[in-house]
Amino acid sequence: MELYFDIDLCVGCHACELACALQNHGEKRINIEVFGGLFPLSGVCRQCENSPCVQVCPKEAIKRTGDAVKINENLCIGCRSCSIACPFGNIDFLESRRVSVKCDECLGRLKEGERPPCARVCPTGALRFCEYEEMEKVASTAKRRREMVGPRIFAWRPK
Amino acid sequence: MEVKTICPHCGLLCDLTLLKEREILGTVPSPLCVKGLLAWTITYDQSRIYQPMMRKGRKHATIHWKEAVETMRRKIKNKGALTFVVSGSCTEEELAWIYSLSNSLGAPMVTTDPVLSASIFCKQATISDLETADVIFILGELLEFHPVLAGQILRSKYERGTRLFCLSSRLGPSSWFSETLQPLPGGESLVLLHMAQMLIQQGTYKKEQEKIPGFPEFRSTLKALPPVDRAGIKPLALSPVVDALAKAKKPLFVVTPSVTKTDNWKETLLSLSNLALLLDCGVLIVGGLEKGLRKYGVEEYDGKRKKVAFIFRSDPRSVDADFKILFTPYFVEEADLLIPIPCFTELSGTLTDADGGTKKLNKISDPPQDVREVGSILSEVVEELRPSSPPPKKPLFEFKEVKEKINVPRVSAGFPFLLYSQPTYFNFDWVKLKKLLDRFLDLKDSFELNPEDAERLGIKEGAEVMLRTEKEEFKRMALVRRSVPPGVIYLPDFKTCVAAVV
Repeated sequence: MELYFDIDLCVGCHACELACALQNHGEKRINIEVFGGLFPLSGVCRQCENSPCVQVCPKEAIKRTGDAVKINENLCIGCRSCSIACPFGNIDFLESRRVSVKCDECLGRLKEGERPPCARVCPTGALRFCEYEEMEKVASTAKRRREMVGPRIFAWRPK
Repeated sequence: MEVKTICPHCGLLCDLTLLKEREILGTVPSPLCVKGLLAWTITYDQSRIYQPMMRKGRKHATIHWKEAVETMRRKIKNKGALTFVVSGSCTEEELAWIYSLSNSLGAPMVTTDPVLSASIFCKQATISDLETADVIFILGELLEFHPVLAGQILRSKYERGTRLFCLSSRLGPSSWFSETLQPLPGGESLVLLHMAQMLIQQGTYKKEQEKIPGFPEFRSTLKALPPVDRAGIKPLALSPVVDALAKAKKPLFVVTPSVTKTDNWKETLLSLSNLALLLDCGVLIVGGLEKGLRKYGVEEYDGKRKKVAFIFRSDPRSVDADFKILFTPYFVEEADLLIPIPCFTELSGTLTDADGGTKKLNKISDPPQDVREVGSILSEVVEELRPSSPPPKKPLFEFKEVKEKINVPRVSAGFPFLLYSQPTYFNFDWVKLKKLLDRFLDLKDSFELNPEDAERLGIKEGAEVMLRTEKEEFKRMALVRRSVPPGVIYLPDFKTCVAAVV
């Protein structure tokens, strides 16, 4: 199960952002950005394979655990290399605790079989926590067909 | 333990599942907007009051219940000077009590909430009609205020190919997904009337609708319309919209509370109502909870100064009165006598949703010791008072004449900008939630400005800028966006007027 994002359905309502903040004691790991005032994007970590953040971390604090990439906060020295390396700009630095935080799909903080709160609150279904096959089925059966355009991002691609 | 209730923040009344042990701990995540996710926090808000309070000099002091009831009895004796101000967030049970009291005293029941459905004289649609409509015309901004509806609308767009049109002065989330007409603020009514005129000229309206009263008069008013250019829209831009609406099997109009921020919003809704009658289609009103007030024939507050006002769950700042008695769960500075009542988690009752149906509010926790429900307080003030049900009303379809066709404020050298606004919250409780929301998400009080204007004035994104209107001055953060046309600035939760950037 992975967290997928469907650009076509995002309306920029900030619900995922708030759900994330409530789950993680006020430290949110999702930032909604609206590009040019016209194009909303839920900035949730794409958990890239061959992740640049894993490669640059000097203390090997970032590791892939299952499907998600997780930061070990005890090892993090707050050098911000991962924030610079991240191609999507989705790693935040917390001034208060001087560590980097990123989305790890709430690994280890959820009950068995539970979906992350951001995917559960999304009113349009733009953020989905499911298997790839399920996401592909939803996106490809729609009248406006979406396809995977980047790591875990689905969008309509003009022909 | 998980307990179920509904979110009382807008007309959708979404289902809400709360986590509760000894007290409420949080919301179980389900498709909700930010208001719904934080709704429970107002139960434990710092500003809640637990005993009646009376203004003594500059400060408020707690008083005994007996004294509060005595004061209310004294004020009620003064017949002819009373006004009952109710809000959409009052439950139907509370409204029945208030209606019975105002009926027995002969005092009017008014509201300061805009009652959108009062300005519509055509068929009213329901939310389920969104699934079957093939053309949806949105008046105002829908997706920003009701993201929960967005799921339904986007599904019908992408899965069934529904065409979406939007009439809004600002390109907000609704316009990202639809074909948008962008009139000047206040020009919506003129655009809608021109669409009606086009339908009549082309003869594409439903002919059987001519029998409805008022059609000949309405037709003759359309002849003397000012040109649509005055609303900032080219006449050619209207024809694809009119064609799509005329060809559609089941068109649907959706109205949102964002229309209410212009001075001529009633005319706008009347124009829309006439247009919907021409096409024989329904209008879906997604607003606050004002549909419950309509059942009791509540009228809008006329803005005049009253002697004594009984205010129920409404904002006392919007009412002008010598003595304000406020029934509220929270402390509000402007009231003279504050009577504590339970908030939505401590109350069971019924609320009316956007469809006109009812939904049940469940009591989740007990109200604090001294807090009593409206019914029990009113029955102590006036003995032998019983709640009464409203008189039945028949729906009335009618073409109405639209008097004020355009009301775009005139810009001058001193105030070169048109200020456009939309509401950010619909009821009184939301102000408290917004403070909490600002802590979690770093949303700042901001305004939007076109890049051309920003370049001319030398304003950069994120700069603190002083804004001046004819009445007041305030500081806001500037956001440079293409969502507004040049010469227009957008400020949430204000009133459409002219402004200057200092």
